[in-house]
Amino acid sequence: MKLEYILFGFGIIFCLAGVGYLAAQYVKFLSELGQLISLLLTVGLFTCLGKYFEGVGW
Amino acid sequence: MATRKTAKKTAQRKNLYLGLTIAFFLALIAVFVFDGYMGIYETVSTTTQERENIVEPEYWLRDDYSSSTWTEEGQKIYFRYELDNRRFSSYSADVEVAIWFGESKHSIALAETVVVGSFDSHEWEWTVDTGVLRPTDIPENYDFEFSVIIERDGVERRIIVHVSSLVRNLG
Repeated sequence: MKLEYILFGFGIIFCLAGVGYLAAQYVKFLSELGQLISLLLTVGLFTCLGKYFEGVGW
Repeated sequence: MATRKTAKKTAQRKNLYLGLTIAFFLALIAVFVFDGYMGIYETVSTTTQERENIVEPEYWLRDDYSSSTWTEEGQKIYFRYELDNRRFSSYSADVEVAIWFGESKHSIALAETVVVGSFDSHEWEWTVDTGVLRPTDIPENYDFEFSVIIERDGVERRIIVHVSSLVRNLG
């Protein structure tokens, strides 16, 4: 059971690292306005995700 | 009754936050796709001795300095430069293409002021004959290099051309 959680955790970390790497590479090709909008949207996304998990009871 | 109402409200709020999260994520993807597509893009292609070398717009974003190609002395190099305007407004620029040896300008291949319409493109073609470009201070059995520099409103794209000496190759 514990091993499953560890593997699950590794999976999540690798997924986030991969998406983060791709986003960091792609962000270079965006204009400054696009980067600013992306940043604001990311902040909004994580705020809402946090609120959702708070509502779920995490 | 009040508890059921509160629970319903909480569930609605949860769904609202989840919906907003998804909406923000989709908007983020949309910004990436839209902003990645929009802009001014340049493609440079060179053809010489049956070899075609295409420098895609992404190349200049990764390496802002230069691209290179090579040919044998006496061969012609056919250049094609495409300016793609993926914007909602038209784009005007002074475009100059010149041949440089180090820090000195040898000749101007083309100079033009262009207006590219919205979501339109403009193309230039020119030919460089390497047979007449050898600098006088370089002996015939030595290779030489020159740069073709495309200037557009302060943006500089450099193609370095290496020319192999025919005398050295035959010898």
